[in-house]
Amino acid sequence: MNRRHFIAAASSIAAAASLSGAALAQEYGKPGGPVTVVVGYQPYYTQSWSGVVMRGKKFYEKYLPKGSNVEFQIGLQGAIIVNNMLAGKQHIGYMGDMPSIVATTKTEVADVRLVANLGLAYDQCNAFLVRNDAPQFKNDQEAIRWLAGKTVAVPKGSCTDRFAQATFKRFNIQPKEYLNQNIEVITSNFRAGKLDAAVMWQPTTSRLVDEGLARLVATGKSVQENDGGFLAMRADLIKARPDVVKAWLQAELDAQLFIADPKNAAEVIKMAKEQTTGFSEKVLWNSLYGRYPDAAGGGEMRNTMHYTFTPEARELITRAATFLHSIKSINTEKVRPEAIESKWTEEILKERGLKAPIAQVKALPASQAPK
Amino acid sequence: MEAAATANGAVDGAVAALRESTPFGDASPGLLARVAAIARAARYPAGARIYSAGDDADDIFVVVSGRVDHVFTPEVGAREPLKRMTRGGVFGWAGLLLGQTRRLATVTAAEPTEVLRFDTEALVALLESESLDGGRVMERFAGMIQREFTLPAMLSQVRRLSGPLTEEMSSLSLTMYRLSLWLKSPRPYLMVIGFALFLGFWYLAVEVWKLPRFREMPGLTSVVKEWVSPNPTYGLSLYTEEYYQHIVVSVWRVTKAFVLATLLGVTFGLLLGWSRTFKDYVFPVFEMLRPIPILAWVPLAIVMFIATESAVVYLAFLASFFATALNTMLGVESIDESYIRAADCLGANRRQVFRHVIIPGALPFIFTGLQISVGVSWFSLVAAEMVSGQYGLGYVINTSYMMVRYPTIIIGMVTLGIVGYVTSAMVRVAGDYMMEWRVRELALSER
Repeated sequence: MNRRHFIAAASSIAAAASLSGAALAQEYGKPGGPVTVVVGYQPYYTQSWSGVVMRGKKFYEKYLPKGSNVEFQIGLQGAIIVNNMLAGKQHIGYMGDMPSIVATTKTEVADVRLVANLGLAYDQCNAFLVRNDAPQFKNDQEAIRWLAGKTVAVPKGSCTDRFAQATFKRFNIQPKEYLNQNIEVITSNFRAGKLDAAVMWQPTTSRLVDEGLARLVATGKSVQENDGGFLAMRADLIKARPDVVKAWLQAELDAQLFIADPKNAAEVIKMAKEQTTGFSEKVLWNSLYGRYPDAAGGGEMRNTMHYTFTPEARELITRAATFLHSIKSINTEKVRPEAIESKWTEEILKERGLKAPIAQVKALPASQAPK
Repeated sequence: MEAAATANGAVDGAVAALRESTPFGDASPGLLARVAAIARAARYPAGARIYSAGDDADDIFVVVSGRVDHVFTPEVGAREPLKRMTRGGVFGWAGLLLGQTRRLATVTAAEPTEVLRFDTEALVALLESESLDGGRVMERFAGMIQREFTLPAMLSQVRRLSGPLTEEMSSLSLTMYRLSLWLKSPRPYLMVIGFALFLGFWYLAVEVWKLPRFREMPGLTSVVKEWVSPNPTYGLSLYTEEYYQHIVVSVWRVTKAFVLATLLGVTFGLLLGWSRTFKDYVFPVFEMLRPIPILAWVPLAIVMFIATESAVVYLAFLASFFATALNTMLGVESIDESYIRAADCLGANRRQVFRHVIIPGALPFIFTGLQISVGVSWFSLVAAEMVSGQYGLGYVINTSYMMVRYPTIIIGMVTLGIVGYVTSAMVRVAGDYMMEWRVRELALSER
């Protein structure tokens, strides 16, 4: 290598190193002082809408130190938030159960921990949709049995995948094809009539139903398989700013109570509408406050806010981790104990004289749905 | 000692003079030294006759200094019978011509002249011992005799060496020859250094220095460990059958997309370049569609095609088609108008011009386009296989991203890169096979 080549190579390495050095390590300031945090949240996943409310109502302003700065970033899927949290670009994340658990297992990249539960339900993520011209089923059980030998799609590694596989196992059925597709591709495939069935999460489930592209025929309630959402934080934030963790979780409690109060339904939907695109108010309302027929796995309870890590929430985490390990999505069968930090929420519940679950979102009469 | 130094100096001087001659100008230093070693120096005063037409064609001469006048006999039929030569000029080559044993010209020193003399048979024997390099020298002799001495082509055919001339070498031999040149050049070693620097930087930045932003990335050792593990954590390694299934499926999809893009793209590009009217109709639409990213086509592709596989192939085909068509069109447009006019003058009809001028003339551009096209097909695959729902390297990358399996993402990326490189090389070899004339040109210019 001549001198010119060597200088070119060395300069490239130096340039790359200096560029990388430009991104500084996480800096959260001192306890009590203002903080800047970036929050990743999913307005396109109804169960994590406390993030939508936090953004819309700014409940955190009441608890965070004065002068703090909060930036909200939308993640279309949980995996995007996980990647951003691991990369240190987001510090707080609102996600479904599966991405939350995955985030806690990447300690070689970054330590991410779960600090609160956003809710447990049976139909927020776990909803079987079938093509519109599928037979009319008497009930959800018959619909599930019909899936044998059919083409079914799910976004692999998500709660939908866990639910679908658990359902197949319980009913001892095998689809002809079990495809891994994201929700946009599933939507297009329903439109093209290429899919027999798919498992989707809210509010996309409600949109497909509303648009007449698919029918909801079964939910987690049909097989007693629940789904959940969790609030995650980077461990360096937790360590550096316990005051911020507590402040945020105080605000989160307010947000969850706000959602569960039926009087606020219209306002919640308005905020969700503002923070999403392509969803009508009616669809958004159906995704959280609507009621689907009992024969299709619908029910009165749409979401139960456990807030802290109740035995049900922990059981879901254990079950989901086992599943993720079985599909080789994570390298451990169990979530490490320190990855679930329940002390914060337990302390707050005690201070505020509340018990988990703190609230429930119940289905509202269709007459209250937006026109 | 002094005698040795003098001999070395003489050889260096001979090499320098040879380097300025047309036949030996780009010969390797080793060959030049061996040729110089059999040279005999000679001096001629002004006006001295070096040889006459009809003499035995025994020696070949290279002018070191001075000037000679070279005059052909009229029977030879040279367009320019008189040629004056200075340093680097070569004469006395008649012995190299097929069936020629006598001098074709008379050569006189126009001023005091110093030359190098080579016994023709000794030189031919030396060139034969280095068949490839030697063959090139002989070809340059032929070219020089025809162009610089204006001899008719029929007469300027040089003798064959025992090895094949590059004119007669197969495409494989030419490719191998180019490979041997490549291996002798610093390029492969710089390439190895380039890879070593890249991998070394990856290892150091992520695992040793743990630079900010880099430390979050999967390290070289963790990726390699996963890749070669019989029991990979994330389920994909050299030991898993699934890994090869993904490769085979992707290769098959890209092959289909590439073949389609080649058939349609080349035809379409030829028409665009050949017909002004067709171009006026179609090109604006083509240019409007070309920049649209593959991802944007995903929903439409799903709806447009009944079979899922067709949608995947269509998405991988699309960008390839644009690359091929555009390059083909530029290839046609790059053809020198004078070739077309010459063909017209020779009475060729439009179809013959298209078949014998346009298509071969555009081939270099077409093959450049095809190499781009196969690469484009591979990088479209990640978007295309979003639709597939199962199998394929793009599918592996997508799924691993969604499941946050970093080492598997890198394994998928590197595998895709390697397979893409191999397919691109295959297209290059196919191009070399179809354009031997161009390979020869590149080989002669040591590229």
